[in-house]
Amino acid sequence: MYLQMKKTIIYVLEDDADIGELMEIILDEYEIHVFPNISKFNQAVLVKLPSLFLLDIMLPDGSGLDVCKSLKSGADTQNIPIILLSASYSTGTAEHAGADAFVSKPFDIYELKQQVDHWMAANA
Amino acid sequence: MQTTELLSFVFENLQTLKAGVVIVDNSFRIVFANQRLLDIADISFENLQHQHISTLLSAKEVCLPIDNAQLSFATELQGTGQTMGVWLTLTDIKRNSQIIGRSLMIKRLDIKEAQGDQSILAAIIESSDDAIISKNLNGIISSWNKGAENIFGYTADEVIGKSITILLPYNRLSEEHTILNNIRMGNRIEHFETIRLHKSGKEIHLSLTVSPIKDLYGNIIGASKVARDITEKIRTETAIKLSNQRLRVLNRLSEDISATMDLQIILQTATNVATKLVGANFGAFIYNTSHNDNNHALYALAGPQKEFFETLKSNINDDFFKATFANFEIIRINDAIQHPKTTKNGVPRGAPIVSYMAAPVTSISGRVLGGFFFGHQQPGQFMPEHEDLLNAVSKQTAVALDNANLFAELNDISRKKDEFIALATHELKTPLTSMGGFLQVLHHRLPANDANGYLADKALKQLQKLNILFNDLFDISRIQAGKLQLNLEKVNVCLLVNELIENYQETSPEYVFKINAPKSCHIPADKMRLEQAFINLINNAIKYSPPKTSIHINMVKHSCHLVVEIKDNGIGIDKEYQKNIFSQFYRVRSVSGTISGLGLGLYITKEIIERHQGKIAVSSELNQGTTFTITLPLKNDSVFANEKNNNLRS
Repeated sequence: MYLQMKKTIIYVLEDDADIGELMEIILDEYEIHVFPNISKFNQAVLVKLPSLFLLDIMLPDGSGLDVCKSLKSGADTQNIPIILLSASYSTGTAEHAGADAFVSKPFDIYELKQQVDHWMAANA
Repeated sequence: MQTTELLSFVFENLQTLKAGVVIVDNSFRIVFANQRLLDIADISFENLQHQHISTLLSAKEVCLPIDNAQLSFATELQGTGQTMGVWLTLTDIKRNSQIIGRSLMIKRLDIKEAQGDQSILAAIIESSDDAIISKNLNGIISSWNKGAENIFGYTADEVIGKSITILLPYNRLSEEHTILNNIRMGNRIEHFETIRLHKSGKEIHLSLTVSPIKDLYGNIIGASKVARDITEKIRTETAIKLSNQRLRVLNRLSEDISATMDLQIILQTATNVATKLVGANFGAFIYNTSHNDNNHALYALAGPQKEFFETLKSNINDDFFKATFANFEIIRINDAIQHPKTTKNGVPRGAPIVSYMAAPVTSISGRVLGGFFFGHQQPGQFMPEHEDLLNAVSKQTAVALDNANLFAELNDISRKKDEFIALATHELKTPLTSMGGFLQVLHHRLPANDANGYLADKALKQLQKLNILFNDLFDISRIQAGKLQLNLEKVNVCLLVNELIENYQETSPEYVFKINAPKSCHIPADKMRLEQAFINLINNAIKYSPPKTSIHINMVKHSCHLVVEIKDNGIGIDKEYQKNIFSQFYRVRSVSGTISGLGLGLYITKEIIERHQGKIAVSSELNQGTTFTITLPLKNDSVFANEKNNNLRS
């Protein structure tokens, strides 16, 4: 921990490149890695774990809800906070999948940043 | 002296009487007979005097004591050579309460008249359509009219002197015993419906009336039997019963198959019923696969020998069914083995089918959807009446299949529409998200006093409006799919509404908001959804009221429900539009040109309130204002129970 001088890492699973870019702008104090699909995301998770996940739900190769469930059942990933992002699901569905927070699209950038900061602080 | 005078007077009068009179002493020896009697009996008094009365009248009652003062009955008078029917009246002669003799008054029964009556009676009996039979107490037939000949087929000569039991079916022999016992006791049997045998052995349904025959002294000496042929009546009754029963079965079928949209259930039910109605050994419904090759597997079988069609399943010979699918009529064959057109009509050779019947099931569009096929191992099993029944079943089945197909199509269209709306909403929200985000970033990066900040703000407000419209569309698709999910928790509705109003006072300062509510009121609710409902109603109040008017919110807590009133002083709603305002996409026409909206708000609001087991009502006067009244239950166990299953909360 002491040696790690770099910024804290956040994995963003989001197929829309513009929204990915927006995340990088809003959350510029974190190291943001954006993945456009589940398979690339899963490869990255195998290599290195981030401090927080931001998951979109409707993805080209599957559902972010399933990704959320599998992360929350994995021994080394279950304690990493997950924020779900979607235009078409209610908070109830997100809770069902085991996510820690849900932010509906379109989101208020201040609200999103507040949520991320909150879960980072909670898990620090 | 006087007595002698009186006696001679009486005797004179007795001589002139129209009736015969005999006087006997206590030992029933004749002491006197008047001239009339001597005339009737054609006998001289010398031959009668001192004779016992039995030489004249053999009936034993003549010598028996009389209970009352007088006894009258019909009997026979034995004159010289011939006997004749007479009417006899006995009177005891008393002196000082002692019986000293008996007078017998005898009137001749008019032979001519009686003969006339008898011939009329005989004519009536002979001409009757009913069988009129008499028999003695041993059941031996003694008379047999024309009607009996017609009904039973025997002539009078063939049966007189024989036992009535020749008419009884073996299993009804005991009936005769019961009938004769009743007759012996003097009882009459009326309209007894039973079965007797015709000479040919054929059973005949009869209605019997059997009466005792008495002799002149009242002794029962036999029975008269009137039998009416009710075979036709029974046949009609049975036919009516059968047709009523069939009607009931058809009605049941109609109810059963219209209650389901499951094709397989419809076909199985209809096949079962049809097989039973036509009395087939096996029945089947086969799809007409000439339109769609994938439907080969779909069929229904019924009847005790349905295995036959099971064997057909593996190698369905299309020719077998083609005839029915091509024909729009019912095919009925009494004996398929002998029938020259068997192959043409499609009955497969070697099949255990002798009686064969098939009917197409034709859609309203004219397409033959499939057909019913029935078979029986005996010839001539299927009748024209079965064609009618099958026709009725086919028509009902066609309607049910059409309905089920329409329902499936409708479901498919509805599902596609829901999918489209869900996808469209998602696709629309993605650019909205990045556009809004970038605008916010842009605004954030502008110096605080930059005039362009105002423009970014304006653009953001429009984006929010756009978002609300998309949300409404998305909610509609969820409501229609029955997927509007509630996340219930205890919500303080008073606090919720108070916070909302505080917000409105900031964002819409041109309106006066007045709230009248208790401090707190907790109800089971989905906070976001309930807020959405109130926002919709308050937004409407603002939308349809001129600025500087007031908007009242009244909340009253009752024992088991909360009433929320949202009242404005706006343009109001015309009475004729009020009932439609909760409908989807409905907008009051007169305002649709001036005020924006899709007409989804109230529809969604009503849906949210009703999903909370609440009610919403409107009252409004044109140009006076509108009041929406919401009633929400304070407790609702059923809502909680339903929702818990849907939302597993951690």
